[in-house]
Formats: sequence, structure tokens, C-alpha cells
Amino acid sequence: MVKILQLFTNESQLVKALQQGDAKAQRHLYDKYSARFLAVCVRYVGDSMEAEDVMIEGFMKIFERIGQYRGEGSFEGWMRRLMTNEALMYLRSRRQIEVELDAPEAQKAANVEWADAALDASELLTIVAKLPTGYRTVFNLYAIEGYSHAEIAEQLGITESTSKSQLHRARGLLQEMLQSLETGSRNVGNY
Amino acid sequence: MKKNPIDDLFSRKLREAELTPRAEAWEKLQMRQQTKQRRAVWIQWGPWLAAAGVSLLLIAGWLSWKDEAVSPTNTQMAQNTTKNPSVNSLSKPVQNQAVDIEFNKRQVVVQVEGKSVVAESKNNIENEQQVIQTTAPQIAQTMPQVVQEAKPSVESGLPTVETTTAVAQATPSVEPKPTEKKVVLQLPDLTEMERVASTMTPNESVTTSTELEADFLNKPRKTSKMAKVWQQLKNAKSGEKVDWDEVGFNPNKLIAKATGKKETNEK
Repeated sequence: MVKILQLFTNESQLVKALQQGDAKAQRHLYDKYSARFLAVCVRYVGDSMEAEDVMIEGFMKIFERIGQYRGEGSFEGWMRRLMTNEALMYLRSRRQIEVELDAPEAQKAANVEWADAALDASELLTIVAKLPTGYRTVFNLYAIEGYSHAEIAEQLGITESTSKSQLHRARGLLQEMLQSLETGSRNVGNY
Repeated sequence: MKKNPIDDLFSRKLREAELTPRAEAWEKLQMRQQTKQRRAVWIQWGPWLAAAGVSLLLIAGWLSWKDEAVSPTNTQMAQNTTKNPSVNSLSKPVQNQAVDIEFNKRQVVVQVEGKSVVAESKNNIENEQQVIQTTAPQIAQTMPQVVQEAKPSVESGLPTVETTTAVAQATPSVEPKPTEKKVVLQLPDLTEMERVASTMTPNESVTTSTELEADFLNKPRKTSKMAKVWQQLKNAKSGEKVDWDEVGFNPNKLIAKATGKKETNEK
């Protein structure tokens, strides 16, 4: 095992082994990135079981298309894009990306500094998973992956203004959920 | 441009977030990979396998069709051979070497290792008759016993035997002369055969035997329905007359029936 790990310390060596269809290299890649990519899939899909299926499909795409990776740019970024595309394809196949315009607006700004300190990633993941699919997708693509509204509009087949409004509403909902978490924990603290 | 605090919070916390998958996930991934590989193999080789199967079927069909097409010619050739007198002339040297006994025109064909040896049997045989026949030494060595079948024949006025089975016994090569061999023809009891033959008149036997032969020659070969239809299709292609009875239906009759029905309906 130590020998295998030593073999793939260098990323280019790992990529080369993957391109040759090396099963050990595939396992190594899975062990290294599966947890991270499962979190990505849960962010988009919401349900952890379905997200696991999407992640498996995403890894299969990575193993299939590894020959297309030319070493330009980050390898992890390339894999993450494949994972994101897989999740979006899954949502499209389920026709879950619908535009929701009548979601409630956030009334009060949440205390983001408190949330930053008190909440860990898993809690934030749970909050994001509660968002409606359309909001969640746009928020993930814009706020976390860093896509522009034009790119999101092209990828999801919606207009830029729709993308913007979806993001705005997603932010509002997240703020509300953070506030409810904040008040809940404060009440618990008072008792 | 300053980033939205909500976006910033979620981006920082979730970008590198990790959730450990279940242990079964890797096994699931492997199983799916294997299934995909198998499918890929089928996609790659499937058309070739299908093509190979189809070509095998075509070859088998063509071979069987060829056999069916060739077999009538073969039977015809075989008939010609039996009728052809040149076969006798081919075996004349052997015939000439045979010890001269009074022979009639009956001929007995003995098949030994693919060589045909013509022996002539005497007609006026009594109970047992010994025929000394000269044969090639190698024949005698390899085949000590030769079963001969005598062709039925009729001679006018004389009582004849319809089917005579003669057993030729070749003695082992004890004699100093290797070129000569004694063949003893042991014929069945003639009295018994005469009794059987007497029940049938010569004329009748001739006619029955000739009829049987003609029947055998003229009897249509048993062919499959498909072969018949194929034959008629070939006839139609070459502009020859099509035997619709062979095909199983007559389109002219069908059309006539259909038009007749139409007419009756109109009436």
C-alpha cells in the first residue's frame, strides 16, 4: 500500500496511470477525492443517496475521459467540472431545474459573522439542500463554483435575468434559514 | 467587487467540504464499470459476430441448396454408368483371363476395393458349380470372401432364377502361381430356387423388374417445399414454364377467384 501511495504522489504520474486504465490508480483517485466530490453532488442533488449514485457516475466519466485531460489547468478543477456536469445532467433528466419566482424574500439580514463561527460545513450543506432545486443550482454555480450569470444561463437554458433573480431569492432563503438557526441556538443557550 | 457575505460564507465553508461515501459505493462503481466494459465489448464485436453468424447461415444454406441441385445429376450419371456398355469393355482384360466355361450373357459385377471385376456365371448350373476365375493376386489377398450378386435375367424357354446370390470364396494364396486364384461360387439350392421361380412366369418377372426400374428412374426426387418453389422461381427467371402446382398456389386462379367474387358482389 505504501508502495502504491509512493507511486502516485506526483499528480502527473497518477494521471498517466489512469490514462493506462490502471485499477490501482483508479482506486487511489477514488480514495482521495470521493468525499469531496460526494459533498459537491449533495450540494446539487440534495439527497445523499442519489448524490452517491451521481458521484459514482461522475467517477466513471472521469475514468472514461481521462485521455482528454491534457494537463492544462488544475486536474481537480477538471474533475470537479465533470462532477458538476454529471449532477446537472441528473437534475435535467429528472426535470428538477424549474424556475421558481414566488419564493418569499428575506426580511432581515442574517448575522453572517455568527454563522461563520458557529456552523460547520455539514450544517451548511443541510441548509443548501433545503433550497428549491432551481435556486440551489444557480446559487451553487454562481456563489461556490464561480460561474457568471451568462454561463449559468447558457448551461441551464434560462435567461441571465432569471439566473440573477434565482440567485437573489436563493440568498434570501439562505439568510432566513441562518436566522432561524441563530434564534434557535440562542434560545437553547438561554435555557 | 466585494463578494456577498452569504456567498462568501457558503463558498468558503462548502468548497472544500467532504462527506465520506459508504463503503459499498466503490463496489458499486466497479460493478458498473464491468457492466459497461461488457456492453462496450458487445457493441464492438456484436455486429461482427452477427455478420459471421449470418454468413455461416448463408454458406450452410448455399451448401444444402447446392447438394439438392447436384443430386439429380448424380443419379442420372449413375444410371448412365449402369447402362453404359463401356463399363464392360473396361473390365474385359479380367474377363479374358477367366477360365473358359460356357457362359451366357449374364454378368456379375464384383466390387473389390473400388475395382470392378466382371465375372460371368453359367446359366445351366446344377446344384453346385465351381467356377475358376482368375483375378489379380492383391484382390485375392485382401478379400478372401466376395459376395456376388447376380442380375436377374431370363432366357427364353429355360427355367430361370430371378435373383441369384452367389458367394465367391477365394482360397488363400497357397498356390505357387500368384497370378491365378480359385474362386468357388457356392450357389444356393437350385431346386428351391426353381420352385420359387416356377410360381412366376418369365414374362411377368421381366415386366415387373423393368417396371420397377422405370419407376425408380422416373420417380420424382423428394425435395423440400422451399426447393420446389426455388426451382419454379428459377424457371420464371429463365423464361421457362412455371409449374404452379409445385409452388402450391396459382396466382391466375387466385385473381380469377377474387375478380369473380367482386363481380358477384357487384351483382
